[in-house]
Amino acid sequence: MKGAWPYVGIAVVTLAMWALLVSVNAFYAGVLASILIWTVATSGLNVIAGLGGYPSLVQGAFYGIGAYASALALIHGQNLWVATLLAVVSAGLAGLLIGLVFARTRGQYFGMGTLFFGVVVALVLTNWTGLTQGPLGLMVPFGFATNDQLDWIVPLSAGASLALVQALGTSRLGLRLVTVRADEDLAEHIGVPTARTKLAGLVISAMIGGFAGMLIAQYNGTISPDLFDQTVGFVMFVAVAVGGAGRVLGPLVGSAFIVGVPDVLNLPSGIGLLVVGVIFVVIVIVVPDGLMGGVDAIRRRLPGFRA
Amino acid sequence: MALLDIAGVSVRFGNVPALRGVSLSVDAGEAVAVLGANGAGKTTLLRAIMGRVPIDTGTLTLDGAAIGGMRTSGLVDRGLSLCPEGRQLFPAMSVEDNLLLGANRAAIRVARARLATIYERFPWLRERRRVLAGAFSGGEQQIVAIGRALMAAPRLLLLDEPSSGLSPVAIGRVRELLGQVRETGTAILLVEQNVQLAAVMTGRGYVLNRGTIAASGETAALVDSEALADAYLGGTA
Repeated sequence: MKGAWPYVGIAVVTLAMWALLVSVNAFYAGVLASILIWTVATSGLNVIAGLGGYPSLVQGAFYGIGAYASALALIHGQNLWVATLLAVVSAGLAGLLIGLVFARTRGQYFGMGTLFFGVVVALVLTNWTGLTQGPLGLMVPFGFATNDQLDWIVPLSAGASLALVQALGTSRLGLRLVTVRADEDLAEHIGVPTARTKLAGLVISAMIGGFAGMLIAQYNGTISPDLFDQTVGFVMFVAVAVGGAGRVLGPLVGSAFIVGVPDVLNLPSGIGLLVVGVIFVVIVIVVPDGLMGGVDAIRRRLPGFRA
Repeated sequence: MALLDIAGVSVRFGNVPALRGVSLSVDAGEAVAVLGANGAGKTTLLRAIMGRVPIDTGTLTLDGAAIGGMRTSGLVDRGLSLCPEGRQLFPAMSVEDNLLLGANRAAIRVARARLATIYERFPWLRERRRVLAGAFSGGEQQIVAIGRALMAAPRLLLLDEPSSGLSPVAIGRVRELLGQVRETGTAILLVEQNVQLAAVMTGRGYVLNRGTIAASGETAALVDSEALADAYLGGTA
């Protein structure tokens, strides 16, 4: 039953998050919900950037595409199911497009290419005013039955995204992604179709990001382009790195630091980014594998450790 | 009909010819050696077969079907599997994950079943399956590397210098394993500098010298041949 334990752990964490969310005051509940929605988005990023080791800086754009697609669907009278489907599919298609263009590039070139795409999406959201009302943003019709539903749907979504990455990590696609991260040439040698593997990883990342976009649109009630610009994509990458790239719980821990710390301290956004930067630098120096990587390193030193 | 047929294959890196009109064949279930010194083009030959370097001229045929220009992943599907020079495991991944990766073309259930047969053959691997591959000794890593190549369930196993850098004891273990592989009917194309190992493992062989086939015949006869001495000692005659 060893294979089931990680899922039990994720379920416990999810329940704890839910209990915390419904018991704290409105301010902290808001912070926690932001952290959990970011956990969904960064779990998505954890597929291509964590398992696959590809520095995708475009997750914020998928998040935004999901948010706008679901909002527009609801505005045009569709129900939440259709809106969610549209969010996931449109973000997935964007991922497919980026993948087809950039999946054959590596390292910093892939990073730059995805960053560029993030800028393009932000520009479109800002300037296609006929569709998005530009910087004014959109009022998002509420698609759930009651506000209380969000209280369990948000933690459940976060838990589900963690479980999904856990399942992917032990699947064939997950193993292939890890070889791409470890040594792409060697992976080719043993028959891993690396380009297709990266493409699949990026599309899955994008779809999960799109789902997170639907959540934030529902939670906020209004959306505007600055929530999804290239800075967001970059900070999401930082969150994954801080939490521990490729570790299942990394996105939760990373989001807690990167979103939670500035929010709890109620810092203005510029100062908040500065704090995020300092956290990132300290983590990279002290625990290069991220916080969950540090936890693993400590566990390995404990007596009786079995991997 | 030969399982693998290579006819007049040339490979060049820029202006430098690495292989010049190389022709050789391997029958189903047969073990064939390619002998030669460093820089003779042995590794390039294997890389060309696996679709890792583009061939300039010539044809590669597997079971009568042209495979020149095919992707490596497709070639693995068709029954080719390479155990590269210097082991080349993923050092930061567990032994089990390394082995499973060899079967990355198959469904995960099929891969698990193949893993079970590898563990049956090497119970010590099962015991240490969670150890990181990088922590294994060179000889153990070579066994894992060959195991990984076998996880693809190949019809033809391509081996690039499996004895290089190993102790005589470790080479003995590799030889034992390759003997078992032969008994299962898997064909072997063995590229080696170690002529003794090649002579034991293979019946037929070729001598590769500066990118061309200098001699061919029974491996045991080749070992004492002038062509091989020339290939190793670098005479110009």
